[in-house]
Amino acid sequence: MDEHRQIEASEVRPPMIDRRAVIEGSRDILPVVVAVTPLAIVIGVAARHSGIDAGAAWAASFVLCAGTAQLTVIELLHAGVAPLTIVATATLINSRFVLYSATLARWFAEEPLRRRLLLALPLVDQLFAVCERRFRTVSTPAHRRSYYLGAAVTLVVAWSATQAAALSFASSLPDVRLLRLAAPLVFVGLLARTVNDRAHVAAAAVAATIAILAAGLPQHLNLACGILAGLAAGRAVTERVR
Amino acid sequence: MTTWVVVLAAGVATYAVRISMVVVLQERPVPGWLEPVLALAGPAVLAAIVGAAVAAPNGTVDPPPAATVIALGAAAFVVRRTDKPALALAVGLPIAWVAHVMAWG
Repeated sequence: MDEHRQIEASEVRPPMIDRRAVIEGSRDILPVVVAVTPLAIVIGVAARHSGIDAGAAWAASFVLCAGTAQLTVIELLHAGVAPLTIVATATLINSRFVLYSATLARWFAEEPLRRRLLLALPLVDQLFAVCERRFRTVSTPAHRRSYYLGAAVTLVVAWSATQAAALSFASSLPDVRLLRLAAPLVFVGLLARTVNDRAHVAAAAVAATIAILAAGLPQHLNLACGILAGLAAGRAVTERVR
Repeated sequence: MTTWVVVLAAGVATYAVRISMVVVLQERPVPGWLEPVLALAGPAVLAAIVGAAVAAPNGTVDPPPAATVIALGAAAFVVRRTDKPALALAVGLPIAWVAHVMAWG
């Protein structure tokens, strides 16, 4: 009888990890991994040339897991800025993650809190962008969880490994300036697929315009300002259409 | 030593931001007013990052080179037509390189 119950329970319980979804997530994020490779190389080279502790600089690739903030931390450490100011600056740059956090809470609403807290560890622009689009059409928690894990592990491992290589071979690397265009290109590709109505167009246009015009703001606050203005514009268009 | 402390402290602070809404919302559903805002998050975030990266990379407004504009436009066009984001890089980088070599950038 007990054996029967165990068999029934194992048949009813969905699998924790859907292997196909893991592979799908890993595959979908590969173009993004290629795109962020130049930035990872730039960060590795900058860290080596800054003269700061190479181990700590590399650890930031997965402890911070946010390229712009990591590059800023390296530059400010090199410039001798006070530690508290550096931490506050990095946190401000990453303040946009609040928005991602709310979205992650919605994606994984069925997961226990402890698991959601773990899933938030690698949450970053690229992972958000890839998952945000895919999860509009994915309904099962196991698929979402597995897809997210596949994409996150692929991104973080490639990101950290590339930085380790760049730190090791910094002196013999070629000019990587043209490759810096890789990340904007991939984001434009994702954007071209994401924009589907007038509200999206308004949100994107206003966000880009404000992020450019507010470029002089300290601590990369232009990004947060652009995003907030874009959201407000998109919302206004949605209300008007109603 | 200071480098390690800064990296770890920045990592902890950033993680706090990442889990902020997960902790605030707990078991509650995402509020109704927030749902439509989150639907706009993708376009707004992507556009802000691209705009700042190509037109204000060093903290001042700096019109991007023609090669960059041509490459980004071509990438967006191809992805829009094919619905394959991977083509953005495959099309955009060679175009940027050619335009750069032909001194349009």
